[in-house]
Amino acid sequence: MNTAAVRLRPAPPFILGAGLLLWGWQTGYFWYALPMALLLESPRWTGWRWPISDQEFNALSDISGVAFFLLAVYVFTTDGAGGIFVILSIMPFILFLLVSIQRFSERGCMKLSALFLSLRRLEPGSDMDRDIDLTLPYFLLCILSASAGNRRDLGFFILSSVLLIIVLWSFRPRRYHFGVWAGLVGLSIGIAFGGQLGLQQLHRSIEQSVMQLFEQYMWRYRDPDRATTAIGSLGRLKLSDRIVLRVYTDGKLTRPLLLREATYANYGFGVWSNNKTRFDLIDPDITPGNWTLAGNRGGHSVAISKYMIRSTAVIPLPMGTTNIRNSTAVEIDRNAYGAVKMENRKGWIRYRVDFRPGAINDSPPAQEDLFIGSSYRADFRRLAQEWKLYDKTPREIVATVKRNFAEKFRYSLTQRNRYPRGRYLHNFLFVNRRGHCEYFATATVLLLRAAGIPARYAVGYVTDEFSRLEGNYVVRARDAHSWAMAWVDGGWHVIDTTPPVWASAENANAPALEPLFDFISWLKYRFARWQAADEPAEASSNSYLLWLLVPLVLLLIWRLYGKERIHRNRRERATPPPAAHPGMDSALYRLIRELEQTGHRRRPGETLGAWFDRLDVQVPAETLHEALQLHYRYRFDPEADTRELRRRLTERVNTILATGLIAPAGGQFGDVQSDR
Amino acid sequence: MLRRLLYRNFRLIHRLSQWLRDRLTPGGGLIFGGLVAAGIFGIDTRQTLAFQLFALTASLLLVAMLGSIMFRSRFRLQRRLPACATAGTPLRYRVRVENSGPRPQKDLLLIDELESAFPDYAEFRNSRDPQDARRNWVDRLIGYPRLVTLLRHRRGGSIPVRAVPAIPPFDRTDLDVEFTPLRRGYLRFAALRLARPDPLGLFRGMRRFATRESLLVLPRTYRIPRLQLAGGRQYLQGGMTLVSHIGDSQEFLSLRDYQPGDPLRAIHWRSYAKRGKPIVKEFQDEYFVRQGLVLDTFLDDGPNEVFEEAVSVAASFQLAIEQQDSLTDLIFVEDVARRLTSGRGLDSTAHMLEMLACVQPCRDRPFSELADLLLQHRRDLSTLILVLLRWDAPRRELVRRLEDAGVPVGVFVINTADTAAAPEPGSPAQRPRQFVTLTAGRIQQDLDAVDWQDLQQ
Repeated sequence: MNTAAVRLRPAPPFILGAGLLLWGWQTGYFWYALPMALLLESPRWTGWRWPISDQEFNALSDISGVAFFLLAVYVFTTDGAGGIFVILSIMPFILFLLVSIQRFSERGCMKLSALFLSLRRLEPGSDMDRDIDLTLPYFLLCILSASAGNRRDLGFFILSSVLLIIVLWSFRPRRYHFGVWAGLVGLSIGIAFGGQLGLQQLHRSIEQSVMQLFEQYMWRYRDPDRATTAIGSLGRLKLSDRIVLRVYTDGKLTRPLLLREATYANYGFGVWSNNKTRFDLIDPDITPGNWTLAGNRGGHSVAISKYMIRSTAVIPLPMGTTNIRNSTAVEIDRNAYGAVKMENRKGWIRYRVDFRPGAINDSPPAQEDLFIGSSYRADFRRLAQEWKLYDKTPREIVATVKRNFAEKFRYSLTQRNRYPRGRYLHNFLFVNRRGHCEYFATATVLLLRAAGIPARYAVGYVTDEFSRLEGNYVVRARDAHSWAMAWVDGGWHVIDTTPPVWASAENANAPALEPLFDFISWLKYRFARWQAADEPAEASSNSYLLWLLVPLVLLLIWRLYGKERIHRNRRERATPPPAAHPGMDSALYRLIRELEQTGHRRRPGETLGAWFDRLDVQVPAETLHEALQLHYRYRFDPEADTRELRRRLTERVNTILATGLIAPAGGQFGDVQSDR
Repeated sequence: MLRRLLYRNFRLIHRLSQWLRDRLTPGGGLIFGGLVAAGIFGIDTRQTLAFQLFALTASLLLVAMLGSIMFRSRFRLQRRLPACATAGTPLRYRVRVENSGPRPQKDLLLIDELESAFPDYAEFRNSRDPQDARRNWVDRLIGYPRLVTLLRHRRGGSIPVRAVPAIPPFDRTDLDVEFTPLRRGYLRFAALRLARPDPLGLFRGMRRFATRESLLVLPRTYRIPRLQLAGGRQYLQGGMTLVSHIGDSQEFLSLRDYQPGDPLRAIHWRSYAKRGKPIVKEFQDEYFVRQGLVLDTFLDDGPNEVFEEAVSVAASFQLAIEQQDSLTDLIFVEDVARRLTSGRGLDSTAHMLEMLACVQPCRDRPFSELADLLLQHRRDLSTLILVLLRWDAPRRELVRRLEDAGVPVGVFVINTADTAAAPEPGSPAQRPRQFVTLTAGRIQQDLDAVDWQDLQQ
C-alpha cells in the first residue's frame, strides 16, 4: 500500500541549516545557530546512526517539555506578558535536541506519541500513532522564531521567501510545467509583499480606532490617584487627534499654556500613583457659579470647554489657578496634589478660570516626594553623580538638569527594543537617550529627588493650537503631556524637560482629513452648546443661529403647503364631478324638498312610493304616485321621450305645489317622526 | 450543558478537520500550520515580523486554492467489491480508474468514501469507547476522541488514500485497495474521489464520482472446534417435505388406503388405477436433531461492546455446529421475535451469518418475549446454546425451566473486562450443563479454555 503521497517528506538538503542561520542572524544567536546548523546537516555526509527506540524518543521529548516549562516560568517572571516573544525567539533551542536525535536515528522519524502524551496511552499499534518527520516543521519553527528578531528591514521577508520557495520546489507535482510553477510562486510572493504592507496599515488603523474609542470613554476620565504611562510600550506611541478641550483666551498666547489635571508622587514600573487622597469641598462664592481656590485673584483668565462623560470628573486647569467662574457646576473639590474635581451636567460644559502663573498652591512636599524605588535608585544616583548635581544649589540643579536633557536627549515616540521590566528608564538614561514626554518627566522627577529636591509628576495638556475655524484654541488628545514639578525656594515650579519639538512632531503626523473632522467636530460642538445655552453670552452669541431658522421655517411651510396643495388638487381630481345622467333635473325633487321642509321626513331606506302612502297631506296619494311614475320613467326609461316627460312631470308637480295642500307635518312643529 | 455545547461545535470541527485533511497536501498542511502560528504571533505587527510570514503563507495557500480549481479531465471509475467481508479481517477490493481524456494523468490520489451520518447528541453521550480508559481525564471529559472513534465505527472503517500510478491517455489502471472493516453490517460506499494537487503542491483539486454500493460485513468469528452437540432426536412434524426444497426426498414406507385429509400429492395413481379407489403413499416420520442457538439481544444500558462480542460468539457457534444431519434454529428478538432454521437444505449458514451481521440490540421489549418463545418450542429442541449479555434472575429462571424440561443448555455469558466479578452459575442443582463466562476483549482465550465435552456428551 503506497501512502507516501500523504506523508510529509523530509526537509530538502541544507534547508534546516539555512533556517537555523536565518534565525540566528535575526535574533542575535548567530554563533549558536552556526554549530547547530552544522550538526543538523552533518548526517548527510556522515554515516553515523544510532538505533533509538520509541521509549528513548519519549524520554527526550519529555526532557524538552520540562525544559520548556521551566524556561517559560523564568521568562514570564522576568519579562511579564512580553515574555511570550522571548520564548518564541528561543524555541529552536528547545526542540533542537529532539530533532538532532531524529536526524541521527536509524529510522529517521519518530512516533507522534513522542510529542503527545495522550497518544502514548492508546493501544499499541493504534493507527493514530503514526510516524512523523520533524525536520520540516522544525524548519518552519526556525523561520517563525526568526520573526521575533523584529529587524525592520526586508531581510527577513526576502530570505524567508527564498527558503520557502526551495521547500515548495520539493512539493512541486511533476505534471506541471516549470513556468506555471514559477509564475504562481512569483504571484504569491507579490501578493504576500503587498499583504504584509496592508497588514501593518490595518493594524495602525485598528489601533487608531481603538485608541479613539478608548480615549472617548476612558481617557476623558482622569484618575487622580493613578496614571499608567506608556513607558515600556513597544512601537510608536500615537494618540488620537480628537479635540478634547476648547480654550478661549482674551488674546493670543505667547507661549503654550499647560493645563494640569492631576499630580502624582509614587512611581513604580511605569505607573504613577498617589496614596488614596482626600478631596476637600470648596465652598462656592456668594456669586453663583464662582469658586475661589486661592486668595488674590489671578491676573490671567481663560475659558475652557470640556466634555463631561460623567457628572463628576477631574477638570484641567492652568497652573496657579485662583478662581473658577461662570460655571454651572454643582460642586467643586480639590485634593492636596492640586487635582480639582467638578460635579456638573454631562456633555459640553464651560468654565472661566483666573490664574497666576508660577503661584502653584499645591500642598508642601512630603516624604514620598523624595522617594525613589529600589529598582531605580542606583541609576539616578549615578546620573546625579555624573551630572555633578550634588555640588549645586537647587536652582543650579534644575538648570543643569534642563540643560542636560535638552542637549543630550532626543524626543521620540517610538520604542523598538524590548527590555526586562524596570529597565526601560535605565536604557532611556544611559543607552538610547530617546523617549517621549513621560520618559522625560519621570526621569526628571526621579533625578531631582536623587539630588535632594522634592519633585512630583504632573499630567495634563498643552494648549498651543489656534483654530481659525473656531476662533479659539483647541486641545487634542495627542496634546496630552507630562512634566515635572519641583519644590525650589519654598514653592512649586514647573520643570518641563521634554524637547519643545514634540508638539510639531505630533502635528506632523496629523491625518490629511483632519480639517474635515475638525469641521464636523465644531458643528457638533456648536449644536451642543446651543442646546445647553447656559450662559447669557452663549444665548446672544447663538442668536444668529436663530436667523438661520427663518429660511428653514419658510422652506418648511412652503413644502407643507405645497404638499397640501398637491394633495388637495389630487383629491379634487380624484373625486370627479358626478356624471350627469337623465332625471337629475326631475321636478319631483322640488316636491320632495317641499315635503321635507314642511316636516314630512322620509325614513331611512324608505322608498318614495311607501313614503307617499304614509304622507299625511291633503294631496291625494294617487296624484303623488302619478308624479312618481312620471319621475321614474323620466329617470330610467331609455326609450321615453324625456322632453315630454319632463314637461308633464313639471306640470304635475307645479299643480301639486300650487294647491297648497301640503301642510306642515305634525301640526305647527312638524313632527317628522310621527307615524300613522 | 457543557457537553451539549461541545457537541454542537464538534460537528463543525469535524467537518473542518475532514475538509483540511482531504484538501491539503502534506506540504499544504505544513504551510497551513505556519499560517496559524504566524497569525497568532503576528497580531501585533510591532512586536514581531510574524505578520510577514503570515502574509507569505496566506498568499501561497490562496494561490494554491485558486490553482486547484481547474480539474476537468475525464475519468471513469469502477469499484469491484467482493460478495461480503468479515469484521476485523482485512478486505481487499479493486478499483479501476480509466483515463478517458487525451492527456496523460499523474500525481493522482484515489479516495474512497464511506458514508456515515453524524451521530445525534444522545448517541454521542451514550457511546462508550474502550480506549477512553487509556486517555487522560481532559480527553474523556471533552469527548472529542470518543466522537472520532464513534464516527469511524459508524462509517465502518478507514480506507487509506491510494496514489494512482500514471495513466496514459485513453488507458486505465487497476488499484488494489485494502482496509479492515471495523464492524459488521452494511458498509455504504458513497463515492470515489480523485484528487490532484495544484501546481504549488499545497492544495488538492477534487473530482467526485458518485458510485454508491453496499457491502455486507459479517460478524467476526472466533475459533470454536466443530461441535456435535448432545441431545436426543426430536420428531419433526411435516417430515421431509418441510426440510427439503427440491423434489420429494421422503423415505417411502408403504401404500395404504386414502383417508380424508391426506394430501392429493400423496396419491399413488398407478395403484388407484389398478384398485379403482384412492391409494396413498405412506412416508416414514422424520426425527431430527434440532439445535437451538439463542442470541440475547436485550442490551438495555449495557455497552455495545458486549453485544458485538455476543453476536460474534453466536456467529462462531453457527459455523461450528455440525449441520450434516441436524437443524439449527437461530433465535433472537429484534423488532419481532425471530426463529431462523438452517440445515438440511432449509437455509444456509451463510444466510444465518447475514442475519447476524444485521441484528441490532432490542431495547424496547421485555426479556420474557424470548423466554416465552424458547419455552414454547422447547420440545422441538435437542440442545440449546444460549449466548447471554448478563446472568440475572430472568435468565437464570429461563435456563432452569429449560433444563427442567430436559433440554441440555450451554450458557455463555459475555462480560466486560471491568466487571468486578464473574457471574456465579448457581448451586449445583441450578447450574446449567455448561456455564462459561467470556470476557470482551479476551473471547478467544476464554473459548480456548472451554472444555467442550460437556456440550457434546
